[in-house]
Amino acid sequence: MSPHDTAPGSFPDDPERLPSGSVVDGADLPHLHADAADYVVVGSGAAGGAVAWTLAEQGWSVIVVEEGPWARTRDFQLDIGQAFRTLYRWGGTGFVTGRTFLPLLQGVCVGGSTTINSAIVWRLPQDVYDDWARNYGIGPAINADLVEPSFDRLERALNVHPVAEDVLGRNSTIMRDGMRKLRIEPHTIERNERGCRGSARCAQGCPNGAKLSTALTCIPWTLERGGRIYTNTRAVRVRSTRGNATGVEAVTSAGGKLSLMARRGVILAASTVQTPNLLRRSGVRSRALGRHFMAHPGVGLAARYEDDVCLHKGATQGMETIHFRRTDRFKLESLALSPELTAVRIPGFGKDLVRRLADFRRIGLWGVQVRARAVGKVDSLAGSDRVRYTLLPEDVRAGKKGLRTLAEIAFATGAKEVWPGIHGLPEALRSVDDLHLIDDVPDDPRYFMFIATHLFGAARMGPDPRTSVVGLDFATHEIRKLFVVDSSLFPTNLGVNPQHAIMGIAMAAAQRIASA
Amino acid sequence: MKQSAIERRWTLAILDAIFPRGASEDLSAGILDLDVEAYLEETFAKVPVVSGLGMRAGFAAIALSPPVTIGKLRTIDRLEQADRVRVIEKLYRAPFYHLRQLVVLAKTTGAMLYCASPASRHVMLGPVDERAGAGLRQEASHVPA
Repeated sequence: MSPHDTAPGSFPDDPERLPSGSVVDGADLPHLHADAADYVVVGSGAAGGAVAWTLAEQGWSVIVVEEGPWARTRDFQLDIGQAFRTLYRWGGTGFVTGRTFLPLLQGVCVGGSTTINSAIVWRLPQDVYDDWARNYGIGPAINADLVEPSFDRLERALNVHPVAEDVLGRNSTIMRDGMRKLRIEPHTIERNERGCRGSARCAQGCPNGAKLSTALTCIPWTLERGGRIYTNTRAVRVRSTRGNATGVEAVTSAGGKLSLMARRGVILAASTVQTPNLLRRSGVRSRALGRHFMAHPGVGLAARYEDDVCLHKGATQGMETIHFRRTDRFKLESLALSPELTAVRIPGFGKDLVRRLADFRRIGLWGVQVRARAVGKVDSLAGSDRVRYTLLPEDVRAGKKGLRTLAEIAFATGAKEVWPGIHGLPEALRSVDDLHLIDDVPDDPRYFMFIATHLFGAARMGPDPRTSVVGLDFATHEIRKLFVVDSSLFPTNLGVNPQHAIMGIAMAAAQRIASA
Repeated sequence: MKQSAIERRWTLAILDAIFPRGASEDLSAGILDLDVEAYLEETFAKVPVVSGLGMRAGFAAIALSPPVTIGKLRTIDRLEQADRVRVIEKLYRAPFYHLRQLVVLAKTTGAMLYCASPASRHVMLGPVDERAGAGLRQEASHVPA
């Protein structure tokens, strides 16, 4: 089975298309239950899906543990509120805390964040390979020779290609036109999808099954090869005996206890927030654990045009530029969100707000993604995952320059008003002559509405156990056969969207783990 | 987790100030024309306890702020509509970040209901399929692998 042979109205995550007994819903397991496999993988998102599929292809038996439900394509709805409640961790109410509250959106469902992201594909940039080799000593584990073949394979399997012109949507073509006028090199976003209809629905889960999340690809492919997945099942700790990981203890949403024996190893792919705390609960005591957390904070800018833009028609994200990635540490992207999510970026309250909402079709929206230098911590408070992180002034400066550039793009393409969403500025800027006001805003994150996107670090890889958690064999320094393959092992952020890099590195890791 | 009756009254007044009825010819319905009570019940039932407590505290802080924001010794539900909007706007322009975030929280909470209603969607987006949305293509594209 492949996503390519999907018949109309049928999706690879339809229960009847999956092997019988391959999906065990924790909601149906109220009692003690035990199972065993060669490898137990915690998490079913980008890293978990890729590592499980690679191992299953090699003939190893694999069990995947997923905390969230398997939300099926056929059940996806237009309502973003419902999507938040069923697909997002903490119902979409999570925050990174520091001097500001940054909304933290993570998928907690089969497919993880690949179910709710925009499927943007970037290979690991060469300068990142070089930096990691030179400054962090992990070149022997993560280098182009080892990882690039995984990218080749993934791009074929996941049908990676640029967004087709007829589904770009006007929000993206406006951005392209503006960038060309300003001599900024535009780039049509490449995504893993097949059959996109330009519904701007990526954040709610694609209702057409076009986005090739791991819930439609790697996980079904793993199950076809004899794998099993436990959904609605939360990994509590990794069990170890004499310094070797031997299994996972988990609880189901029905209150049952699950004991999973791992004959060859336990692989953590639970995300940068959850993996470090699972390691901590499993007895890892490294001083580096939970430290070195990094992100790509994002901030948006909206504008009003005379003519229709129609955010709801077109790819959620279709156009981008990395023109400023090396010089100013930010990337620009078009961003078509639903009215529910865009409303907070529309200025005003009461009648002013409602009138602007009535004009929603004329609103454009784009985002700045900052390759921030800020470093934070992941820990837990009263049993709940916690991330503490505050942007540095230089990160805010990068965000400001990105916002100003987006405003210039908007005015260059005929925007009547730009809504900067910055504290202390007028709610609407009406010409390029107003843009100096953005420069004058203090370099203080509290003046902006950043959100936390793309998370890295907190269980980073390195040769030295004093400064890293994971060794060059992807196993923790402290517990043998306990592997980490998600972006918590990345020593830095990337400056580009990380899903593809995470998947490629996880596949390379799987090769290494299986050959150990 | 449930809001008390008085908290619920405050919350409705705040949301009504942000998404009032009769503001626009096209978008004439206000948030109180929707089943906001059921929405709040569901929201508070499903968000984690810490988030629910934060939301309750946020709405309460806005509701109790009129003496400080506009100099009127009343809770927000006892103000005229225009004064309620003044309270919200004052808080949004406050020099203190945490006060501004209270308003962002209220606006986000209300938008999840108001913008999702079929009537609002129809005005904002035109005719859309409730499951699949709008889309530029009726049929799936077939990009070769």
